[in-house]
Amino acid sequence: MIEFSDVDFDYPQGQPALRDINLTIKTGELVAILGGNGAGKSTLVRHINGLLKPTRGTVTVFGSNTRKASVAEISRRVGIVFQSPDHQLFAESVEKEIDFALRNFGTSLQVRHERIRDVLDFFDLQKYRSSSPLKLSSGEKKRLSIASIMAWNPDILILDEPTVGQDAVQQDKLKELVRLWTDEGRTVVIVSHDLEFLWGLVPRLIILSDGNLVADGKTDELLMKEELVRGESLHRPQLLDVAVMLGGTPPYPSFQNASDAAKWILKSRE
Amino acid sequence: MYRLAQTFVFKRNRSPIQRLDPRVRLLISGQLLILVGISSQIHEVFLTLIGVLALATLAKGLRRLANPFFVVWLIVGSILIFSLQFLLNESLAAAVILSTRFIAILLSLSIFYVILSPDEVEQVMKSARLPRDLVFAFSAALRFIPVLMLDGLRIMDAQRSRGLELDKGWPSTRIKNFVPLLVPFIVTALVRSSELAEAMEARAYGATPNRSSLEILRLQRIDVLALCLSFAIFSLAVESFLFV
Repeated sequence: MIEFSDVDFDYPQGQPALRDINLTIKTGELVAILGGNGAGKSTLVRHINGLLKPTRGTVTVFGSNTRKASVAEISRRVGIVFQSPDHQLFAESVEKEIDFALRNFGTSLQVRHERIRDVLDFFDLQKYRSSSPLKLSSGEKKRLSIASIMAWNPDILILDEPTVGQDAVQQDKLKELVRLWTDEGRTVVIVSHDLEFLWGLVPRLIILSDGNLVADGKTDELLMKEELVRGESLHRPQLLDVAVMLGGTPPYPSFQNASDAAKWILKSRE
Repeated sequence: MYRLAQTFVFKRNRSPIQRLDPRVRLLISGQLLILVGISSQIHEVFLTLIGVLALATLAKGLRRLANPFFVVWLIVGSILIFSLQFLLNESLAAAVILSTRFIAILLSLSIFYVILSPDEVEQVMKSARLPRDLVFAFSAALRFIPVLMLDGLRIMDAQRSRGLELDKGWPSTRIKNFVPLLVPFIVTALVRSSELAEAMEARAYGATPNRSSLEILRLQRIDVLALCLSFAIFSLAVESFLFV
């Protein structure tokens, strides 16, 4: 469980980044954090593994105060996939890149081999096993950065803008992974602007604006608040917009494609 | 690291120093650096240090130089130099001079970022008719120092989140632990520079041999006055440091 209690955070020059954040994310929950640029999304998630410590208030992860534990200790249970893979890739080969964290956490050799094989298979990176990570395309680098975090099976997975640079197939794979992860009872926090990706996947949205928590609720309910969505520089999923415009009756299911949406709208208007 | 990076970010204010022509500011900053270089006695180093701090105060940049992280780095560095010098030469005076000079050199280099923006450095270099590519490379490098420092911070965050502990283990382990930071740092710097080159070319950089400038530097009366004053102080200091 992740708990933010009265959290304020100011950057060193004094500029406020988070204000009075009270938030609970339960174990096994899947949530998305949204907001415009500079809203404080990345700052918020950096508090979860202790990279940033609150100026005021407390952040607890599985009952332990992040102020009192090192980043390495917290990271055993919290994995963050950062926005830019270039900021982490350094090893000679894809295999060694995945092994880096496993080695840091003292995982046994046999388990390391198994985990490396599993994530390489899952992310379709087996053929690059011995290649340099720096030679991969940007989409492959992103997949590798996610694979290198998934390898140690953290209880909480944080994905910072995971869809950037990913094609439709990889986005579907990412959805599959997120579902698999939550089915196993793990917590997933996604930081993203991509409501098309989040709709139908994430049941709960947390919206930040200028460091303040402005909304926290069910995805379907929050997406119906048009002013809130637009006010935070977000776009509602197009199929949902069409369903609303054509007078479909709420609640709206998350349509997988245009055909599903058309059928539902026709049925709803009968 | 973030705090340290802030020391190298130029912030415009309406201080008397920042109102001067950038060429005059560059000269004053250069004079201070020369004085640090030629000072060999303890009182000379202290006098130069006072000069640097006075300039920082006039430029309303003292608070930035006094940022705790920068000060800690200065103190740690000077203690290290002091100890090494004292152990090697067994001379307390020499150790004090060398460590104080270290502080003075770093402060006089940092003051450069307090009083001059990379754009102004570019203007000054252009007005000195230096080759255009050299001017651009130099000003781009200056602009990228804080950006690269922030990149370094992000890399550190990413690797610490994967269990890397930089402050644990034997010295050899700690040195080895810097490899996961250095490789992405160099790679991102190279990628950034190549992207910058492409972006500049895409905006017709180099299409005309003589580029015009949006702002033209002109010396005002106050600039000439400041220049004369700084030269007078500089000449007096050089004379007393070298010949008295």
